[in-house]
Amino acid sequence: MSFSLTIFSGLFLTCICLLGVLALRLARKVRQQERDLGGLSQTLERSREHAEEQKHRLAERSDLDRAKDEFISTVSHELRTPLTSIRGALGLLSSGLLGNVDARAHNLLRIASTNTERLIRLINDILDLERMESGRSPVNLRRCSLVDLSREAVEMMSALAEAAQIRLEMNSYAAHDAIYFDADPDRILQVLTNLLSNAIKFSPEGSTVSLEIDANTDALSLKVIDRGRGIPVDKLESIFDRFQQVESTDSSKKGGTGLGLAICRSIIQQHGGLIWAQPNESWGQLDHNGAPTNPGIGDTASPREIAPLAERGEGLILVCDDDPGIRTVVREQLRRHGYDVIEAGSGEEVIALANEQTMRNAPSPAISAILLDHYLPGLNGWETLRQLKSSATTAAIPVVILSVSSPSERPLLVGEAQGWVQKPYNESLLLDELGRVLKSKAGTVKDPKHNLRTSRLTA
Amino acid sequence: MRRILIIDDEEDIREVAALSLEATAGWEIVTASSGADGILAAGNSKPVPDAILMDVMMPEMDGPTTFRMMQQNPELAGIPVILLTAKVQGVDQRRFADLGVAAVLFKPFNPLTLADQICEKLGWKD
Repeated sequence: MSFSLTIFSGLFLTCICLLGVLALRLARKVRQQERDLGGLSQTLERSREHAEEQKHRLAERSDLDRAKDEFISTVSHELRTPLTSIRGALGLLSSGLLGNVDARAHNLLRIASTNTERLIRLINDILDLERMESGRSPVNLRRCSLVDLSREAVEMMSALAEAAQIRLEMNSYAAHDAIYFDADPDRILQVLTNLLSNAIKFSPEGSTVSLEIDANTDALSLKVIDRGRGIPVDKLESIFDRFQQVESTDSSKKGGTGLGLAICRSIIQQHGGLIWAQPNESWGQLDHNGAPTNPGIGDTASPREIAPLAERGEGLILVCDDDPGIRTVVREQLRRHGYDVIEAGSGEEVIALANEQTMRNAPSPAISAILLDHYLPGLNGWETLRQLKSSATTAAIPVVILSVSSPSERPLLVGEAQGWVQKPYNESLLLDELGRVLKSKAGTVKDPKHNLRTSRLTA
Repeated sequence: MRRILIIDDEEDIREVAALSLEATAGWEIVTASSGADGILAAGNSKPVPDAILMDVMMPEMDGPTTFRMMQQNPELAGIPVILLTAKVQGVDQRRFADLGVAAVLFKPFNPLTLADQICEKLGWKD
């Protein structure tokens, strides 16, 4: 199981919470509800239709992704170019380096400069969010210390807090300080500094903003609490949407872009966590005590927040690629989403491992699916796949091809494999495809003989 | 005194960057509006520039191509080149880093700290 992350944070007498354990529970529930797909002919027909559909969808999606990538890159460049001249000219004029300007002119220059900076932040935030939500900015997971990361965030924000005359404190309710979890430290810092800076901006002078840490065996939680004006109950969810602020004048007065919390949510979701806002008890409008003593209660979070996490998987996946770098990336992505992973560097190794795992079944678990690269030294992907499918021991294991080729370039493989992901792939596409393949396997697995025949017939 | 060659197809950016480096660091600035002109300007400049600040996206010859051509000219190959780019995507950044340029700086740059950033990237202590 990958780590569970619960981050409780508060804005304006409110808490924003992130929760990870939910994902696992939900995924199990989803699996329980899956029904048998029905008779053999129906299954066959459907899987054929699916393969066809999938082929089209994949080709369309990768074309779309490429077009979108190019568009974003171009827009980013085209917007930054004029801004470079404007920012440069205004900066030099208002600095006084080129001679003094009178007070009224200086004030106008200041207005122009501030708004140029705001426009630049906005463009950066839009691109950041776009890249994250399209899966083009994958998180780089590393083992991190929760306490160290939190301390770093507090230190980074201390100058801002001091300028606003806010006291910044960090409290831990965990049993010890040695709390480690897998995360992208830069991204988590981005979330924490964003929440802290929001909290500072909306706090009255002389008040305190706290970052609270808690952890148990199931989950980690981080809470940012302030004593500011508070978020109205009807806005608790919408503040995480793009360009949604509590008051329409907030972005001009407080200097935000209106995208900060949307970015935070995106980052936390990529980590398999959950983020939300919660009024503090003194608001009294919601029956919450604010403390994340039982982060497993799913009702406090809206279904919209949970939905992207429902793809969480379970099972042992054999990942085969001759490039160890790709194996590592795929392994980390799958582990983060709840899968167990074993690796193989060649087709021969895949066949050996698949046979071994299937034969001795207990105590080691059977392989749920194989992710197979096509270009392999020695036995290539196609030959590996043929051998797997022609052996009664391994024929039932679904195979997803992970290849730089598109399905239309390799029609033979399409007929044999149960799924296809084209490289360079995006993470959600990989998880969707794997989830789909495992799901259709789960639909027929009740009768193992039945399942085997299906596979043979498809082959 | 340091001499810097700025290569950018946008006249406004050449002007702002030149003014910024002149006003904040007192450097001498030479400018060129294309990669080809930049190579000529670098060769004609006596002494050769201490550093070249070059745009990435330029018509005809882009920054990376111009850089590669300079590397083939023994007179120019030793001049540190800093790419100034409006592209901030990770893919682009990695591509630039692989070229072997001295540094990559991003647009929009801050006109008051541009000279400091160049000094820092090139290890200049002035």
